[in-house]
Amino acid sequence: MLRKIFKITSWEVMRNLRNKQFIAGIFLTPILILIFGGLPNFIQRFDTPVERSFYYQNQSEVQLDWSEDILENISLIQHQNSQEDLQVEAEAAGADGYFIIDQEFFETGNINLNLFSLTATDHGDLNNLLTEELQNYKMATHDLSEEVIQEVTMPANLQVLSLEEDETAMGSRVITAVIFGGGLFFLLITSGSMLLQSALQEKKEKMSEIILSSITSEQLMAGKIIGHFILGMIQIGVWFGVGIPLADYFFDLPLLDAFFNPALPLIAIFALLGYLVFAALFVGIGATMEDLQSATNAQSMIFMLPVLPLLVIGPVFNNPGGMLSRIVTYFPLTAPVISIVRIAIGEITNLEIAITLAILLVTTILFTLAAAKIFRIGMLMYGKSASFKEMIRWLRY
Amino acid sequence: MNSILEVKDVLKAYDNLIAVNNISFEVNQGEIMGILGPNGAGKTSLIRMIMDINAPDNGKIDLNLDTKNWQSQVGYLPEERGLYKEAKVKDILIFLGSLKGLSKKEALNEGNKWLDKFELTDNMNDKVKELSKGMAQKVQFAACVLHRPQLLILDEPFSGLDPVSQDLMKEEIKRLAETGVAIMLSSHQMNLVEEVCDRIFLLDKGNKVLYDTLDNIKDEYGNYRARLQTNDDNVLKNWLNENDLIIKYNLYRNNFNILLEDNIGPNNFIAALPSNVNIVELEIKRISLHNIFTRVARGGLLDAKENI
Repeated sequence: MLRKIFKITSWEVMRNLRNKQFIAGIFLTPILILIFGGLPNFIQRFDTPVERSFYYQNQSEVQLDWSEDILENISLIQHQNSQEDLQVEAEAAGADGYFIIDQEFFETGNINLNLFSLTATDHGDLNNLLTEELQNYKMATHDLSEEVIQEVTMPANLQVLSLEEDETAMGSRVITAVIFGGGLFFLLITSGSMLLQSALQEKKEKMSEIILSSITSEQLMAGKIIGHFILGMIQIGVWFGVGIPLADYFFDLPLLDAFFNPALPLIAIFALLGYLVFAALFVGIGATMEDLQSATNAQSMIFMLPVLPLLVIGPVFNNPGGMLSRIVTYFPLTAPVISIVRIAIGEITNLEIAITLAILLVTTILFTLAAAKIFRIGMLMYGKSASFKEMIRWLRY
Repeated sequence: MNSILEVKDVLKAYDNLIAVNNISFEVNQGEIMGILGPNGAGKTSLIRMIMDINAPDNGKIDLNLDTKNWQSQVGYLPEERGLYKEAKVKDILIFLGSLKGLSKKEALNEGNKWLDKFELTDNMNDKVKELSKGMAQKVQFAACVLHRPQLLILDEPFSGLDPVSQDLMKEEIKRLAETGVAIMLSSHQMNLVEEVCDRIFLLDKGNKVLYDTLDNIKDEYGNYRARLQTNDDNVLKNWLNENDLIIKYNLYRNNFNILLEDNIGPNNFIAALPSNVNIVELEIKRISLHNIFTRVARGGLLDAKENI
């Protein structure tokens, strides 16, 4: 039993390691990620900031006393002539718009900013400047002295200090979360698609029946899953092996510390279960398809499932103990990546870990059994992709 | 003779379709057993059950082999066959041999022998995509016999082969049977395999039609068939319509195809022919397995176009 699984595993591994596309993919993928991830920032460096200018007229009785220092890339030009001329002159001068400060502004706070075009949309700085002026006026009208006004408007200076650990330790935990959560995410994406391709290739090249005359479909499936796990680990091993020393050298990031995290064995268990859940899904779905082009809507949706954790990872990092984090921790298709992130950050209870492990174990068993049934029939079906109805029927056999 | 494979009352149904209906037969050591039938007769379903790829709904399949390791004693060439296109011939032989329990060295030695027979030794290091279709089929055949199986199951082994390669394949199959291998051969090309099979199981829509040695089948159902060409159709037509020596006849391009009654041989027929029929050509042969099938399974007419 195990000997035959091992033979399939070694065939899958060796066949891919001799494949130029696989080797090229190992090195090209991180380069492409770096290019596409870093390119927008790099290109932005060449952008010159947009300078905006606004004309304004002060029709109120209040003497304006503002400091335009808080305005970035905005210039304000005071206009003294009539209100009718204001718009004409502002437009003729190429300004972005104009506004009028009248007495009503100091009473109600309402003010209109008239724009010649709606291209510039962020007016936060201008709003802050006007707010500051309004607050100063309001406080002055209540006979508050300049000193008192300064006292009242003194900003808070919040400094975050952790009693548990120093900043470096917190950074190390986030790095651990990124390395292992991200590592599993890429393992699911790359190995999942390779497994699917492998099942498709077996069918396309009509080898499945020849192989199934020597081994069982379960052995073939297990061999493929283990083989592609090894290939995925080789891929990630190369990425870490090259990327971690480079990150340490160029950015002084203590990435190696992540591998000494005491939660590493637990993280490994979650990663393994996560891989098995998705591997069963992909190998099963690969067996139901004729080729990638003939994928049905249901099949195409399954390709998107590994991306789910990416959609919720932002809110989870912001609030690892929040409601959304807890929900996606228990959902089997997001549980592996999210649990790893929360374990690494240290924001998960033992009870949550136990429940998630139980859910993942049950899901792994159910998915593997279902995939084995579908794989057994699907691998011998030629000429068309299976419909959702057919897959359900196969599960009943 | 030792029976290697025994199929007993096997039944397989898919939803409302009965693919194999209570079929029983055996395959003995050293014989070539032909499972014949048209497309959709149930041949591949039957084979997949024998190979334990699918399970029968009812009945029993016994392999008189070492039960623990039976797969390494069975060779199987499926109808839907292919090879990894990017892999080398050598690597495929080693891989498939290893699944049958051969070491790398054993697989290469045996593989070399078979490639030598098919004159493909020089292609050992070629990738499959560099081979012609016929060459690839020979490599597939080599891969399914290199572990010296005791039972060899061949599903449509001649399909896609040119006549020269078909003859070569027939010779190798016969030679394997002579060494004691039990061979079960499935095909829809009945006339092609009747030349190699010792016994025949005719299958139609999952049901048994005939099961016997080829000689017995021909003795029992293989009536004589005459092809007669004359330049006076009416005289012969009148005679054929009135006498009781024939079962039926048809006319195709000036040739009368005549199926003789069960007990009527060539001598009886020639003796009874009226003297005023001007014979241009006359050929008398037993009907082919294909026509026996058509007659027994479908009760159909003679295939007038068949070249007898």
